Amino acid sequence: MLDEELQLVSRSKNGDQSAYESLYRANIGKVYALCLRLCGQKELAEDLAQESFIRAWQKLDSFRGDAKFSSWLFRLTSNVVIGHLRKHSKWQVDSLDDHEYEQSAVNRPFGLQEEIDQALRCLSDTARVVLIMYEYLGYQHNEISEITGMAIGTSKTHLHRARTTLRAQAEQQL
Amino acid sequence: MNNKNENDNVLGSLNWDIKPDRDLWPEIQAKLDANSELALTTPLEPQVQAQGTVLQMPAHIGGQKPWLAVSMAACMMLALGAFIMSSMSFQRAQDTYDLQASYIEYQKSQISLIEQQHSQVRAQFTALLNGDLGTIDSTTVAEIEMVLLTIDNASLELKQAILAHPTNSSYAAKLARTYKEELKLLNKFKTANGISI
Repeated sequence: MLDEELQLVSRSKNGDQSAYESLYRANIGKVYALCLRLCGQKELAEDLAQESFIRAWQKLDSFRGDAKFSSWLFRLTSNVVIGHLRKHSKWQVDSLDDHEYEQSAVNRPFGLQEEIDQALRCLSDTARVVLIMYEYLGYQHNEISEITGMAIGTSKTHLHRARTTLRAQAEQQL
Repeated sequence: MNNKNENDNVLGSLNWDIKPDRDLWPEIQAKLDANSELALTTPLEPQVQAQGTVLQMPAHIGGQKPWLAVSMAACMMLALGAFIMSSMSFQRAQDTYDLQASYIEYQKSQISLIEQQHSQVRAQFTALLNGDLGTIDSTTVAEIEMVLLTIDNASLELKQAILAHPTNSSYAAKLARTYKEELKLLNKFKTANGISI
């Protein structure tokens, strides 16, 4: 499977679009889901997923093959989404305001997928991104700091408060 | 991997493989093609792959006349781009229609000018191809005719696209580029073979 993926990458590097389409088909679901969860909007997620695949095609030469292609693609996708959020939304990399989390997702039922998604959408962009990067993508805080430009301490605080908010909602449901 | 407590991982229960409502590939492919057009100065492989069909460049053309291989590949890329763009139904809203209308008029005048040059050179070139060219073998002539046919098909599809989407100025720009590429191809061919028209 991995060999097949590397072959597709190699052919894509040589300009073979049909090989790249195979990589697209294999990864679009995960890339789109990541974009959707990071930005919280369907249409924007489609645009960002599209942009991620175009950016990946342009940067294929920088993929050395020492990690899975999907891992490389997810990191690139995170960069694309974070780049967009930094330009177009309230992106908080400095000190945190305690009001932010108190205002979010109050009295919302919690537990099912859609409900978790709703709770995620109620977090600030910054907190949601940190939570997803840490919990789902498995990044350490120093990596999150490197990618997002926020201090390591800020990343930790965002994560802690995002978890606290989600846990509080889960307890409310129980 | 980090060493997070699995109990804290509320995201683990979510579905992380969601297909978007529409297939994004046609738009991605169109943009990749558009980017390729910008990089036409880079040497291209003699074999150009287009939508599952392999267009094989004749070795005697690609090998002895690299300019012809590059030009043919460029024209084929334009043809592919034209096909994809004309088949796409999705079109983003345009911000300024007035500005666009004036741009379209400008494009039309440019196209008209290039069409005049194109018709003139093409007619002379066709006459040469049909006559006695002496140094050019019949296989090469046949291949050139095939390339010209590909370009004609691309131009035709672009014209149809312009009619179907008059507000989309990119078709007019592509048509202008198609003609320019063809003129460049014909001029290079003439120069390389010492022909003067």
